[in-house]
Parts: sequence; structure tokens; C-alpha cells
Amino acid sequence: MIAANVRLNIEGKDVVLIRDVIGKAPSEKYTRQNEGSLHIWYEESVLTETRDAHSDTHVYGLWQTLIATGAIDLEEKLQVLYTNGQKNIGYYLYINNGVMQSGSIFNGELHSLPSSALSDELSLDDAKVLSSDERTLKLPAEQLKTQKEILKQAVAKKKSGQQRALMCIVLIIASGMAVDTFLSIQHEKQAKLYSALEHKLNITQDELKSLVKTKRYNIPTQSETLSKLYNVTESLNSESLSANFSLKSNDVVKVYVDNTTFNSARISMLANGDIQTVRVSPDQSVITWVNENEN
Amino acid sequence: MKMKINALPKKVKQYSNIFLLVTLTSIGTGWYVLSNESGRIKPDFSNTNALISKYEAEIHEMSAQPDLPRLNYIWSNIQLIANQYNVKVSSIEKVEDAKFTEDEIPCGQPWFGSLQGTSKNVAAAALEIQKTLPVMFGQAVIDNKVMGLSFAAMGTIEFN
Repeated sequence: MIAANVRLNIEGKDVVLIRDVIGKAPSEKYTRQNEGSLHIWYEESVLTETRDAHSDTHVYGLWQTLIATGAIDLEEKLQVLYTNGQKNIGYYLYINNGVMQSGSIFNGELHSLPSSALSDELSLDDAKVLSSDERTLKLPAEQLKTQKEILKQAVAKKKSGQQRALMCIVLIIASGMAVDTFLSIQHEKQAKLYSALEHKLNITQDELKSLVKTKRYNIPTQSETLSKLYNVTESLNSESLSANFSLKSNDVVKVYVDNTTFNSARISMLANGDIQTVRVSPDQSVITWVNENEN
Repeated sequence: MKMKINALPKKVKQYSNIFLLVTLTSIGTGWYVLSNESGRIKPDFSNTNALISKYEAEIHEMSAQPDLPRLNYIWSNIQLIANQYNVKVSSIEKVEDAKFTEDEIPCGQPWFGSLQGTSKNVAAAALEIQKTLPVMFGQAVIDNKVMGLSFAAMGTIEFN
């Protein structure tokens, strides 16, 4: 049978449960502690007295333990826990629209029941009875603590959180620096390799330049153009010619010749597939071809 | 004794500053690493290797070519051939006057000059010269029965 302020054995541990409340603190003397998403309130003086009386046991709150066990049903409006066999003494929990209020049962009566429960005409007969078997209980994650212990724990938790955050930041920065250093080393390695390659390129270029200065390479053969030029100048050896042209490949050559009654046949004879002869005026003809040099 | 059921918001608020700090640190560190990396110039290995391969192929091809004769040898031979055709040879100092550009000279040290004489003879001499010597012809000017023809002789200079 569960009861407050008596030694119980829960999950193999000797514990004492003290009376706590859910909802608003009854007075300023009460200390608050979280259990899951709920708050429980208890008197710090009761806690210290219980600790003194049971120095070798852990102290938890009654409702705290029931919450940790999962015995509370948030769908139920009224839940009761009897602490004697006659079922006329115990505790109740009233839930209305998510607002909770706990209280005590004495002589089969619900004490300090809120007005909404009274208007609903709730009685103990409507209540869900919670199991009083201590074997079904589970221990909360933390014992009840004094305000000083809670503050100390909060400070320690904050410090620990800050330390973890600091470590995390240091780790991120260190990782970033490590990655940057790794990339920098890789880049230096690449730069060294590239420098060697550039050196090889320079040597190759120098060798090529040196060969260009000494080897007979890529000189165009202009024999076809020169032959045409020879044929034209020989055929019209005694004529007045004029021209100004380049012998570079694909350039057009134009040789002008004055027309006479004697040279028209010779001019016409020069024309073949590559050389064109055109009479541009009564006094002048032009002989044209395109240079086709070979390398 | 009333109480509302509180859920996660408080915890989220408690850790939000840490999350914010960690996120900002991560962004800052990431930016630092990426900006440093983007500042590093990536060497173009493939292009340089391709250039080396190209030059090596040209060296291989060029090595198999005959050596250029010395310029004074070319010059004396040009004069020898030109004399046979009664053509005058004269030297041109500037590359522009010979109507060539530096890029047009494919090999060797150039020496610029011109052939002058009757058109037929200059053409015949030019044909003969190019058959035997590394010479490239540039600009021709024919006026009446006379022709001038510029050339670039390509050879080597021997330094003592």
C-alpha cells in the first residue's frame, strides 16, 4: 500500500514518498520541480526533515512518482489514490480542460475541490482509482531537491551546456582550420607539381625555338607562281608590263599589259585553267592568277 | 492549485542560443574555408600537358629536317645564280621594306634582299634560287620590262 512518509521499496530501492501537489503552489514555502512536462510542488522543510529521518533513503514526491510511473490518465477528470484499506483517506487529482489540481481525501471527502468540479457534481464514485501497489511504481529520474540544490544543479547544467557549446564551437573551428590546412597543403603540392611541369614546358619551348633557328622547316615552295610569272614575262618579253603584287599564298596577282594589234593573240594564248586574261579597256588587258604555294 | 501543461518551448529557448551560436560558427568557418579555397588558383595541368605534347611532336618532326646553311653561304650562292641571269642582288635592311612580317619567317635567321633585272630573267633566277636555297619571295613590282622581287633568305649565323 502506497502512503506518504513511510519507507517503501520501489524498483529494489528503499525510498520515502512525501506529499506533493500538482497545480499552483499553496504558499511561498513550496518549492517547484519539473517532472516531465508537469510541475510538482512540495515543502522544502518536509523534504529536509524526511531526509534527516531516513538518511539512507531517497526521497521522492507522491504525485511525482505516479507521473513517472505513467499512472496519470490525462483524459480522466478525477483520479484518486487511497492510502488506507478503508478507502477513506488518500489524494485526488482533478483535471479540467488541461488545468490540474490535486488535493487530499479525508473521511471519504474531497477537500478543496474547485467550483467547476462541484458544478459537475463529481464524487468519489466517479473517480478512477489509481493502483496503490508499490510494486507497480517506477522511480522518477531525479529525487526531490531543495531550492539551493536546484539552483546549484541549474548552474552546473548551464555551465555544462556552455562547456559543451564551447567545445562544439572549438571543434567546428578546429575542423575548419584542419580542412583549410589540408586544402592548403594539397594546393602547395599541386603548385610544386605544376611548377615542375612549367619548367618542362619552358625547356621544351626553348628547345623548339633553338630548332626553329637551325632547321629548314616549313619554307613555302613558290615554284608554281614563279613559273607563271616566268611564262607571262617571257611571252610578253617586248611588251610594256606593270604590276605590284605579293607572292604569298592565296594572294591575287594582276599583271597589266598595253594592248597592241600584235600582242592580242599572245595574250589570249596565256589563258588556261589557272591564268585568266581579260581586256579591261580598248588599250589594256589584265592577266590574273591566284598564288598556290606549297609548304 | 492550478497549473497549465508546459511542453517543449522552454527547452527550445534554453538551447536556441547554443544552436544559433553553433550555426553562426559553422557558417563563419565554412565561409572562411570556402573563401580561402576560392582564392587558390587551380593549375591547368591538362592544358600545359597538351602544350608540352604539341611542342614535343613539333621537336620530333623538326629534328628530322635538314640543318639550315649559314647565311653568308646562301647570300653568295644567290649572287652566283643571279649573276648567271644578269640580275642584280641588293640587301634590304628592314623587314617592312622587304614586305614581310616577323611572323611570316618560318625558320632560321632571316636576311632580306631583292632581285632586280629584266622581268623574265628575275623570274628565271628566282625559280633557280628557290630550287636550291632556303629562300622565300615576297613582293614583286613590274614596271615596263624591269622587275624587282623582294626575298627573305633563311639561314644560321655563326658566332665566333
